[in-house]
Amino acid sequence: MSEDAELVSRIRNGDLDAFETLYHRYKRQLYQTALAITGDTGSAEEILQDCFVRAYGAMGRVDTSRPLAPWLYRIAVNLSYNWINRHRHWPLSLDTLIEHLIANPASSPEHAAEGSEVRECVWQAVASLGFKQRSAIVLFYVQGLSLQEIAYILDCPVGTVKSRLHYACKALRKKLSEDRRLTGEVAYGTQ
Amino acid sequence: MVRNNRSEADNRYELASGDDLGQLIRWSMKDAISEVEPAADVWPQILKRVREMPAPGRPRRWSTRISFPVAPFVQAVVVSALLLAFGLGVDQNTVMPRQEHRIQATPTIHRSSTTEDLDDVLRGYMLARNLRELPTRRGGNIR
Repeated sequence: MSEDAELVSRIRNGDLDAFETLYHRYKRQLYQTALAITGDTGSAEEILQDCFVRAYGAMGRVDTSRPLAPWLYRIAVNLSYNWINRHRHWPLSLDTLIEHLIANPASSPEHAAEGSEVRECVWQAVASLGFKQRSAIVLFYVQGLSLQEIAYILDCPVGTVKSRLHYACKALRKKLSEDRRLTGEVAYGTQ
Repeated sequence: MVRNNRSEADNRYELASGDDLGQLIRWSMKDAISEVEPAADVWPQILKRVREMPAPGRPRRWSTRISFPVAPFVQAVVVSALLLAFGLGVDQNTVMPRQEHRIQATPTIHRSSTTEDLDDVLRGYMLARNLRELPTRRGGNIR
């Protein structure tokens, strides 16, 4: 019996400590996924909250013979999709978010500024993609999930995931190569 | 942890899909959010909502997959209903018409509509031609 299956079994018996353990095990990756898709910290926290409340409600139906992570990702991605549908645009706080995210210390101020600009370009290029392509990019490149896992999370065949990644990369290359803020070196690398 | 689960095919796909862009995305997004965590007050809020809910409990029997084959059963019911209806119809002679009610087909020859149309067109053409010629002849006679 896997650790997750054991936790699920305990949660079914009303053990909230087990549920807290489950929360702390997956909170970071689910929050980061929601954040990368929505681009809004407040919404990502709301999605995380709803995700675990829904997971708790459906705990009686979960198949313990399968890994739990893709199932949790699926709930989080579906909630992110609902959020995107409600808002239909990238939040205005994107600049604030990018500033917050790229404020990591670098070797020199010049490198930090350069790096932050490149990151900003990539974030904005990913944000310009539609939900399906964006979520495929986030799950594959940011979360490092396999194509099979992404296919389960997005409820589509593996071939569709490959196709979405292909067209997303194509669109990103185009956007990044057209972005004047990028240096020649980076733009060359993306062609 | 999850990355290690990737199959060889996935890795091949990743390489084929352009590793430079993949690295750029990872560096820009993954590294940027790798240290980001949800606020500490998220868990108390979840706990508050969860405490108001009933315990999830064990999976119920009806929610598991039904072992009884529904589709063949429905098909059998539909087919037997049709057969029964057909059988009753034959018994009451309502399915096939009786001999005396059958209409005897008598072959008749009709002019096809295309022949009629062609005649009309020709007749009209002749009439128009005659009408066009009439005034000149009359005029010629008067003069």
